[in-house]
Amino acid sequence: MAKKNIDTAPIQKILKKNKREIKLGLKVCAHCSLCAESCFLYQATKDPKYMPSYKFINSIGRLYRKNGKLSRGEMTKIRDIVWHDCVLCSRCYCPFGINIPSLIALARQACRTQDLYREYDKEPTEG
Amino acid sequence: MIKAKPKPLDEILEYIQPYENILIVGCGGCVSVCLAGGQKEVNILITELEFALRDTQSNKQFKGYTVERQCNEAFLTEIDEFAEETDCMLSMACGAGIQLLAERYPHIPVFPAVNTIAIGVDRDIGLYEERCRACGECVLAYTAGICPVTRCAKGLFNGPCGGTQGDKCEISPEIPCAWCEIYERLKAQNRLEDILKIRKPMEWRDQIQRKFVQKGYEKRYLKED
Amino acid sequence: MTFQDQILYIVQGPIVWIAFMIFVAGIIGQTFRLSRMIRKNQPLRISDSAKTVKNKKKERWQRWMHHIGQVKTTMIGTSPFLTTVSIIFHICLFITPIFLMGHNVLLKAAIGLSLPSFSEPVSDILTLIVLFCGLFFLLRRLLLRRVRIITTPYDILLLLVVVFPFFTGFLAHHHLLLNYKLMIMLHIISGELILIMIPFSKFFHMIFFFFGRFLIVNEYSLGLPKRNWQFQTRE
Repeated sequence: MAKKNIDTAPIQKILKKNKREIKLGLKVCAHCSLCAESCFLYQATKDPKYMPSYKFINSIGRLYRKNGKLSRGEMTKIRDIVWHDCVLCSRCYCPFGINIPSLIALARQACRTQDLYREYDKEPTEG
Repeated sequence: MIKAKPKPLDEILEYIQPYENILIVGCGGCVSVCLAGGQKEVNILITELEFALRDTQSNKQFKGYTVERQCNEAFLTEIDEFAEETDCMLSMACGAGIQLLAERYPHIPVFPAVNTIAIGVDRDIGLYEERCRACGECVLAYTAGICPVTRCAKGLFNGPCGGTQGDKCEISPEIPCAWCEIYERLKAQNRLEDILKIRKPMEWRDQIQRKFVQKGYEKRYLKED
Repeated sequence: MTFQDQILYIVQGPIVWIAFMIFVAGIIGQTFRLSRMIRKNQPLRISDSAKTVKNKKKERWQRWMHHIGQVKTTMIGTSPFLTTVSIIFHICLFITPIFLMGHNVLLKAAIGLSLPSFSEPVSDILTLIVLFCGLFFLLRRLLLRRVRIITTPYDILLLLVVVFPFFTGFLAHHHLLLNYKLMIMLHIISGELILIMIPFSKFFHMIFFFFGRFLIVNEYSLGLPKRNWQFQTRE
């Protein structure tokens, strides 16, 4: 993967287009952690980094708060959250009905604009 | 998961020959995992196509875009904004994804860029083996977890045919006979009585598109009597 | 009139009405805003007669068990204690102030109408339940790692905002800690604050909940909703 700088324009475009959804999700999330058990990765490991809320707050939430202005390293961290820690099975449960998979998918969209995605030939298994 | 293989480049070049603005749509699901149609493969295909057309007088413009799942319309909405300036689409998803894409944009020609091969397992990076043909009537319970539909050339349900060559299939000495393997494994598990019962062959006639509602969600889609 | 009396006069008079107006207008406005973000689905139904649900006794029983299995995967099944505490907390949060005798006396004096009231010991118990639930949530926030990693200072502030009116109301009623007037003033101000905050802060989940769970189709929706979010604005 080329070590390029982050091109914020396409990320900001995604953030702008989906502003209402992201804003509402971040606003409504009561940080209650009740979504944890709905993630099979959390169930298997009990590691809070797999909590659906943690994943969307620290991916699309972070991008939104920084308006897409993140370093390549930080973007790579987001990539790891939305691909390694989440398989987008879309089975997470939110007591308020926040569509967490949709928010994770937006973070993936943002990563894809920077040519950051999971490369299954280099990282085929969970790492 | 679903395993697919990129189509030969010449075949793809033939499809897109009359079109100028071509959108190549990748899929972040199964075809990414089997290295056939993810974002990386979209980029590779664009490079290949541009190289193949370098000396021709073509004005073809390629654009790549990868959605998370082409088999779920919610993810396809992202493409809407490019649809207007697209003359044709090349889908790198499995057959299901290609069809949903074609259904969403009925006025735009959608071509497959991969051949969907199988539901299979990952033997190694880039090495896959078919394991399931989604027949809809799983028989693995009494065949020791070895699928006779996929693994037996004749798809037999009641023991091997007469063409068995030792423990190999008659179509090639490279291919093991599925029923020999079933027998050996059942014997090791002390379950040989399982293959003594006569099983009806699979009803392959009149196959129509399957559509089903998952258990627990009937009320949403079905009438109750 | 002392300075304190003047402030008390303002916070228990006009500001109460302003707070109520902001609360009601905020809820109506936000509900309207959310309802403009949803669209009705095309009904997807499989009408094949062979595929209708058979309502045989055995199948009905199996279906019930399946539903119970599904419920087990929701927070009722995975965190029964927390769910119970949360439900009790939220119920008490509403019924305690609405059916409090002191509030209803004021309501009667102001508009001539009032709601039925709990007896004072009952209100005291309900208030204490809210306070203990609040303490439970606070401890959970601070001690459990899974909650801590998503906790911000704002979450703790909001929790304090919620329990503060109950705390001060309880102390004022029992003439504890500070003098009555000062305590009741704090009580009124914090109560007004929470009313104003509900439509615009994280307390907004009070409105969103009904949309997210009752109107929008998802795996865990309650009832049979037929709508989807339509967040993106058409350019």
